[in-house]
Amino acid sequence: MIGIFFGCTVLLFEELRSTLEAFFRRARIPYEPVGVDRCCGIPLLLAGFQKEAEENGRRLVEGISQKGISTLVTSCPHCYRAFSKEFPHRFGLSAPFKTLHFTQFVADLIRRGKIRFTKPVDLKLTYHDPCYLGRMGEKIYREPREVLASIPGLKMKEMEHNRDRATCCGGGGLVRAYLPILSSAVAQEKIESQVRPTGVTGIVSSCPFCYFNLKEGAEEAEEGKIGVYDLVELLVRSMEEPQDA
Amino acid sequence: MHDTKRRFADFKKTIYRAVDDEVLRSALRKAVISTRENRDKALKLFPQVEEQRKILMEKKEEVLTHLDEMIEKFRAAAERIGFKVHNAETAQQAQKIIEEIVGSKKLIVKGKSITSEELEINKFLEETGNEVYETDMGEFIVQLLGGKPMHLLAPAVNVPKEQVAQVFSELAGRKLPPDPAELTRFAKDFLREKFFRADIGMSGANAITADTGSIFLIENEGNIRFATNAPPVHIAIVGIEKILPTLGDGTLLVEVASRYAGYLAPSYVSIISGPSKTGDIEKVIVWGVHGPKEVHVVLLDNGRREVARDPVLRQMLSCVRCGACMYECSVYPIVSGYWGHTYMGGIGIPWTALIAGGWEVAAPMAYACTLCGRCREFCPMEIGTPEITERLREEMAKKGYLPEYVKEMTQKVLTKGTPY
Repeated sequence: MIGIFFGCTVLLFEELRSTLEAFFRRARIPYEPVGVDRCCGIPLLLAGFQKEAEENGRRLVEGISQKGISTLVTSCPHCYRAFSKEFPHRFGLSAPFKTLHFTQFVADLIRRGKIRFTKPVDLKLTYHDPCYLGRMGEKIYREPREVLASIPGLKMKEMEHNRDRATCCGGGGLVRAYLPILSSAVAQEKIESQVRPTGVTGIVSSCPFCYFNLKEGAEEAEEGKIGVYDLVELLVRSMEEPQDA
Repeated sequence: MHDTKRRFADFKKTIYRAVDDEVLRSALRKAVISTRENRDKALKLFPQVEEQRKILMEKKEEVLTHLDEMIEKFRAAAERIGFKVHNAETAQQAQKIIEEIVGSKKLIVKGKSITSEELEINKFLEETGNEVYETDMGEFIVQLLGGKPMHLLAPAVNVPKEQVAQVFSELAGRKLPPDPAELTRFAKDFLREKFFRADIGMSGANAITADTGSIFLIENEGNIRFATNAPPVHIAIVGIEKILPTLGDGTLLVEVASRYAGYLAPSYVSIISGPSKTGDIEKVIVWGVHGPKEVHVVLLDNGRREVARDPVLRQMLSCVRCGACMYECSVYPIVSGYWGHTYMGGIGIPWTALIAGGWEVAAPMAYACTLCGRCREFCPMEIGTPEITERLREEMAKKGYLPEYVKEMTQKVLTKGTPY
C-alpha cells in the first residue's frame, strides 16, 4: 500500500487537494492518506527551531510507520526534503518506508507502462525547478520533465537558467511569511526575465509554494498574461475519468 | 522584545520601498545582465579558472584551520621587509591603533575597503579632526551623498547620472552636465590634488601572503595606486582571513576573484612588499623615494578567529568578495544593498551577525533570504550561505529575533500540527 502525504499547504487549498485526489482516482491507484493532521516540520526548521522540528519528525515517522505502508508519496518538495533528507540525515530517524516525490512516483509508473496520458493538453510551457526538489534537495530534474513529456500535445521549452541554476520563485525560506511583497516581486522578475524570453504562455511547477508565489508574480507582471500551472493539474487534464466512477 | 518587533518592521519598510523603486530596479537589471555577460565571457576565455578556484579553496581552508600560525608567519615576513604590523582584536582597538598613527589635522585618501567600514573609519577620522576622501569613483559618490555603498564592486549602482551631476556640481561650484565622461574628469582633477597633498593613504587588501609579507590590491581605476603610493604613509586595514600561504597563491586569488567579478584581468594589481627605498647614492639606504616610507598593516580580527573555529561558519571567511553571488541572488537584484548593513546580500547575513552589526541587525536580513542556494552555484569558493543562514536562524530563534508572523506560524505547528 502506498501512503500519500498531502502536506499542509496542499491540504489547505482545495484546488490543489482535489486535483491530487483526482489524479489517484483517475489512475485507479488506491492509497492511504497519512499525516493529515501534522505538518512535515520544514517551517520549524526554516524558522530556526531545530529541536522542535526533530520532535515533530519523530512523531510523524512513528505514526506513519504504524500504518504499514511501503512507499510514501509527497506532493510538496518541502515534505519530500523532510522525509528524504532531514529526517534520516539530520535527525537520524529511520523509517520502514521509502519516500518518493510525486514526480518520481509518476515517472516510475510511466517507465513501467502502468499509466498513460491520453487527452491532449495544447499548451506551450516552461518548467520551474523548485529549489527543494532540485538544487537544495535530491536534484530531481529528470523525472518532472519525463512526466511532462508524456502529456500529449504539451510543448515544453527550458528557461535560460534551469536545474542547478534555476532561479528561485521568491517564496522560499519563509520569506513569503515575512515579506510577501518581496516574494511576489522576485516571482515577477522571474516571469519577466526568465519565462517571457522563452515565448511560452505559461509556467508549470511541482511545488505548492512556487505555484502560489508564481501566481502572484504573474498577476503583477507586465503586459501579456503568463499562466501558472500545477503539474498535477496538467496530468489530470490529460487523463480519462474512469468509466465506472 | 519591543525593539525586535520594531527592527523587523523597519527593515520591512526599507525593503518594500526598494521593491517599489523603479529607477533602482532598472539599474539593477542592467547591472545583472552586463555582469553576467562579462563573467561568462571571462570564464570561457580562461577555462583554467575552474581548476584555480579549487586550489584556492584548499588554500583558504588550510589558512583558516591554521590561522594563528599563518598570522605569525605573515607578521615575521612583513616585519622582515620593513612593514609595521599591528594586531587589532576589535574594531575599537583598530581605531585606536589608527588614531595613534594618524593623529589629527591630516588629509587622508582612501582606496575602497569594506573592511575599513567595519571600523566606521571615515566617521572616526573626521571626528578626530581629519579630512578623509574616498577615491574610488563609486565610493566618492556615496561619500558625497552621505549614503551607504550598495554593492561590493559597484557601490553607487543605484545612483543615476543626474544625481551624480548634482552632487559634483555642488562640490565644483559650477554646473556640470550629467555626462559620465565629464563627471569622471571632474572627479579625477579634484582627487588628483588630494592624492599629492595627502599625509596618509589608506587601503584594504584583497590578499596578504604569509611567505613574503606582501599586500595584494586589485582595482581598475588606478586610484588605489595613487592612494598607496603618493602619500608618505600607507595604512592597510586587513581582515585576518585574507592571508594566503604564498605569493603564488595571491596571484591565484587575483585570477579567480577578478574573473568571477567579470574582468578578463583587472587593470591594476599592486603587490606591495615593503616601503619605498633606494640605495643608489653610495649604498646608503634612504626610505620613501616615490612611494611611502612608512607602511602599516593593521590585522583585524573582530570576531574572525572565533568564526574560523566552526567548520560550517568558517566557509564565510573564504569569501573573495567577487560579488558573483549578489547579482545571481533572487532577492538582491530587487533590493540591492538595502538588504544589508556593512556587508550586503546573502553572504552579508553571517558577516553582519558575526563580524559587523550584530545579531539584532542581522536577524531581519536572515529572514529575507529564500535559502534557494543559487548563490552557491555561482560562488568560486562554494560557500554554503543557506546552510550558514539556517544555522544563524537557529541562534536567532533562540534569542527571539524572528518575524512575528513566523513566530505565530511555528507556534501553530507546535500546538495544532499545521502552520495554518
